[in-house]
Amino acid sequence: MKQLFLLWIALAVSIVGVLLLFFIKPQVSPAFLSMTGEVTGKRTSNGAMFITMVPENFTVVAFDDLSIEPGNHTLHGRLQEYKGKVEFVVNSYD
Amino acid sequence: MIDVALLGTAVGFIAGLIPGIHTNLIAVLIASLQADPLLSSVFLVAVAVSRSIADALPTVFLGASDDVLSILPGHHLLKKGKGLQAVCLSVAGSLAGCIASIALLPVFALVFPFLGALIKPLLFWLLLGAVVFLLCQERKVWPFVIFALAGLLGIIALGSVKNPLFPLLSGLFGASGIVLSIKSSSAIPAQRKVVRIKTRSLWSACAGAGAAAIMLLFPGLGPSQAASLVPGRQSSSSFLVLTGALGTADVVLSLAAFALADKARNGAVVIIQSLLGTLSFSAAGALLAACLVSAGLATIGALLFAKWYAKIFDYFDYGIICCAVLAFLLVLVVVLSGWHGILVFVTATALGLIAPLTGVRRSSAMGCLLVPTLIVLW
Repeated sequence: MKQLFLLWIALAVSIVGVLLLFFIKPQVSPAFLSMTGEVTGKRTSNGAMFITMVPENFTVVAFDDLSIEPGNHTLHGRLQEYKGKVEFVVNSYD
Repeated sequence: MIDVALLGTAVGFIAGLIPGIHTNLIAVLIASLQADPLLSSVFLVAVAVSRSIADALPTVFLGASDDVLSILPGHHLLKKGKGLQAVCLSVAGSLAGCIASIALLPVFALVFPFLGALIKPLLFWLLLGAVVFLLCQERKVWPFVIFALAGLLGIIALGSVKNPLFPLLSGLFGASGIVLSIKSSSAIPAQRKVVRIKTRSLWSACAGAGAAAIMLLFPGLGPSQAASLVPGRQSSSSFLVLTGALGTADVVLSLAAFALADKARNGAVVIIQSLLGTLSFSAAGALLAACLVSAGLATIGALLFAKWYAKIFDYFDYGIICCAVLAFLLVLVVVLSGWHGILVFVTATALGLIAPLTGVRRSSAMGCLLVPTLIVLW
């Protein structure tokens, strides 16, 4: 196999990659944000803590052990897409 | 996203040309910028893949690299005037490894979670067995001595030095190779330009992708050990293809392991995990696409740049280039790990010299990571 052939393959691979990058658009670009509301409950499942929060528009989840108690809090974290659903991943809270 | 992937490819390529600039170093810098996590991840993946491909140039021409096993066959071909051939083989292996590992993804997705859960309780014994098997392969006492000393150095360095991996790995596998290169600097002939690759040797890239998959099951097992686990006697050409493939397959399959089982076994992927938390299907697709862009462009860059890289020796003395690279590594060690790091670096360099001087494989020095891993697993 000549070097030129390898160059053509490399070019083809990079073009395929560029096209995929052009067409694949992750639905949620994870971004840091804060959300204020009332925490009404929490439950732990498979190492993740699921927090019930009002207003409850999407799943609120924490992977770190947060000793959060019910009440009004501001949660800091980011939005991400998981199994086609948007969820709010909490890193810390006030 | 395309522009970020292109930028990452360029940065990774430049980092690959300079011995000592590891992907993990760039990953830590990117994480500290707190930029958009998805774009940062695309950038990091592109850096990891292109750096792994461009690394073939210093590996072959300077004998200094993290790619432990390919140093000897690459440098061997350089001394025969076939340095460009060696670069071409390694780069072709990297590209083929990237394609093969993406093709392997459906099988990997089915088998990895099952195998991972199966071997988890036996991980310590399996890893210990793999280490003993690899050390016994050479039927000499030196691999055991190097493994034990490197393990001791690893335990001390990991617990006492800032950024311990840099002085440790640069000394064991980078600086020691450069010191030997300085010693044999008079014997670099003019490099032939005609390059041909036997298509048959590209099959080793599939073995490389398979070995990378095995490597992901065992923490602490590096590409060099994974390459040693590939059965059959490898020619220099096949071996360069195999080690080239391992580098890119490691990145692709590490991403898959992260998406499937939340396990990050690659430095860049650890940072990506901290940035993204979990990996959605579409984000995984974007990262794999960035791998393809980076692999393709870095391959073209490495093939074109190799001719210029080889010409450096026409204008500069090889020994002077090696001394300059060694000085650069020393400065980086001081900056990243402080004066304590110098002590680790010098000790690691001396330890790294034992393997080539006693005629055994340098991969025994990976005890610096394997011994601490075994202790943690115990």
